[in-house]
Amino acid sequence: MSHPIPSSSPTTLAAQAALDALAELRAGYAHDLPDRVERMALALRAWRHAPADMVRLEGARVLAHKLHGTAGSYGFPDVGEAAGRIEDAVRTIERTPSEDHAAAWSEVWTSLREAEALALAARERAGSPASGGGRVQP
Amino acid sequence: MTSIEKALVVDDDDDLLRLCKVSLQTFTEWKVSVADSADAALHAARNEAPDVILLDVMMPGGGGLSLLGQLKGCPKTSGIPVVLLTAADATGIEACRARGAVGVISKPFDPAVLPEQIARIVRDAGER
Repeated sequence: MSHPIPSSSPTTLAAQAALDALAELRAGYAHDLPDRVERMALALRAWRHAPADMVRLEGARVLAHKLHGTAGSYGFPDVGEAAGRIEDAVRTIERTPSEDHAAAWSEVWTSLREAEALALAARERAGSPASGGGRVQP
Repeated sequence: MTSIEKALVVDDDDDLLRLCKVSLQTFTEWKVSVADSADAALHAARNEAPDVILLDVMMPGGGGLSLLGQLKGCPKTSGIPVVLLTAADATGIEACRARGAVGVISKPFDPAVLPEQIARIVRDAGER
């Protein structure tokens, strides 16, 4: 005779609470996602206007890298992949002669537009974050 | 060592620290500390003696692999299992293992199964 775990057992409740906590965190991240993409866009445009400025290059690269590494784990893999393509293109621009940069810059702007659209869609799907969503202190 | 009571998560990205901390704290009863720099990680590892360290490879100032080398070179921390988080390909993952990590978790990861992945890696390492 089997003994199924009641749906209100402590184990089930704890697992549900954990899933709820993750969902709340994801909703908060989704709500802020367009702003994160916008910060990356601003950094990329600032660097475009001063391509020899290593500080601006580093700023753009760090933001693309963070979005690449994080968005997928929060449940937004398409945004993470678009940021990854931007990161790759930035690396190409950094490491190749300037006459070879046109295709890489084109990739930057194409992937940026894609990331912006995906981020806005993610925010719309998430709706308003629950009270305190995504605000857990590290 | 196969049971985990304390974990240390090291990453310079607040978003990832937050996600890992919520994942590990809500799905387990582990005590979870976080560090956002190599210095903070070394301090926490020496003073808190965690049972496992989850370390992002792409850290500034020499990166996670440099920090891994420092942890393995210090008698107080050399025995702590280190699991690396990386978006690297298979070649990069082998390089991580060669530097002393007990295992590697690829990014993006699923936070709902992250604690289980870490526990399995540490358990398998303890049986080797």
